[in-house]
Amino acid sequence: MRRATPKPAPARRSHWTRRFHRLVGVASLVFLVLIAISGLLLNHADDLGLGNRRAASPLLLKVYGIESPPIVSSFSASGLTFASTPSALYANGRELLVTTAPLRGAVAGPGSVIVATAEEILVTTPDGMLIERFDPDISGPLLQLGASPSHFVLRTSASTYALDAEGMTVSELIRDDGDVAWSLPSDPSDEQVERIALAAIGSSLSWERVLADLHSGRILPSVGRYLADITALCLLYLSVTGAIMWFRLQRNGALDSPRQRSKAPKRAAGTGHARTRR
Amino acid sequence: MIAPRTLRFSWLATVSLAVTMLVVTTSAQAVQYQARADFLRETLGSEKPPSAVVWMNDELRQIATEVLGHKPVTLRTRYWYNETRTVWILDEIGKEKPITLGIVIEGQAIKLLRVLEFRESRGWEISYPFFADQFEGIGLHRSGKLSGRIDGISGATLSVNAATRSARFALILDQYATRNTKARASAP
Repeated sequence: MRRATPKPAPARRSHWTRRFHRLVGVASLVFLVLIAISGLLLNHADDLGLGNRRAASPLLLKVYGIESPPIVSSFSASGLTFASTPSALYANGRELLVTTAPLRGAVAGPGSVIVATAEEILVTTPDGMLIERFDPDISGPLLQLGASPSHFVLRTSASTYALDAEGMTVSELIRDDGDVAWSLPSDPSDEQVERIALAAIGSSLSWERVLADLHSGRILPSVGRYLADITALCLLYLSVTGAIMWFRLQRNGALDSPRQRSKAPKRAAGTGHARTRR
Repeated sequence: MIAPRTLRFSWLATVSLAVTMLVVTTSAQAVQYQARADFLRETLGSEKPPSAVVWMNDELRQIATEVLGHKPVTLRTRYWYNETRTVWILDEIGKEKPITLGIVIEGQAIKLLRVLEFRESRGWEISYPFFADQFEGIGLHRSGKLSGRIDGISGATLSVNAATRSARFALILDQYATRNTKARASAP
């Protein structure tokens, strides 16, 4: 007589379901918590201003591979050091203006500092606050800024102009003003370079972006996406097995209240299931 | 049936056209429609008209931040004027690059708004008269918003918003400029 292969008892299946459910739950706990918290914060990113908050943590910047931009040019005037990177202009290590135009000079004015980029003239306070910016409407990009005894001087490849810093007007100089002290480049100090680096790289990364990358797993470029996928599958598994276990418990009356249990028909002892004839 | 050579040519033409359009639309060359000096000459009759400045005090800085959506970049804003009007040249970021706008205000209402320079790859439709002409005659409502409705342009929302913010800010600055002028005139 052939012996039928015994089928696993429902209790054993239930046991393994619960066991795996617990295992998967514990294994994915950390990732689920990270995803939940980052999701909650992202949902309220505007209210929390996360898009405007800069993440300047050295660890994060290292993770993202963000390096300090090169200093293209630097000039000093009135105790201020102006330096330009490919995307911004800094005064004593503090971002003054977002601009791609290279710096051309800085000279001291009466109670202010005149700064020239290839495209415009800036006037700052002696402590580096931007008072005004002015597009001089001259032919060609600015090459140099200087000062003569009577006025500031701008030089392009085509001509030389006198700048009236009060009225912000320029007039072409017919003859070359030989008495001009041209602004010359200077090297920023190490402290300045470090401050600019922190300001520059810190401004390129917001907390909203960090959270979005954490939420999607992209914060770890090579494996993060797959970890996020696995976490999603774990969550799916937990949902399904959780539903199955609930259904089983519901069917067995384990979720019934004591009053409901006292009215229900007695079930077979041992298995917790009603015996069925085969 | 279309000949294979025709089909190959069609594909080549389509791809070439697509690439050209992509390059043209994504290349962000600045376009200067009018130089500032020319705009001042046209609106005030002089290349170097008299100018004055409005300083950002705390109150105005707060208003500017609310209107523009960001802190004002400079501590003062220059304007040019004659007996009847003020002229403002403002830079406001559209999507990523600044748009230079010339705004003429007369009798606390906009007389003219014009794009002087546009630096982005899309949204340049705001330089067309059909858009800019909407601002003529618009002033400030009691609430501080524009007194008239400005119709947007599909695909140029950020540029439209930049122009609208600049218009509103220019009207507010004009009020401050007028107030300062009256204060100076009545000072002993």
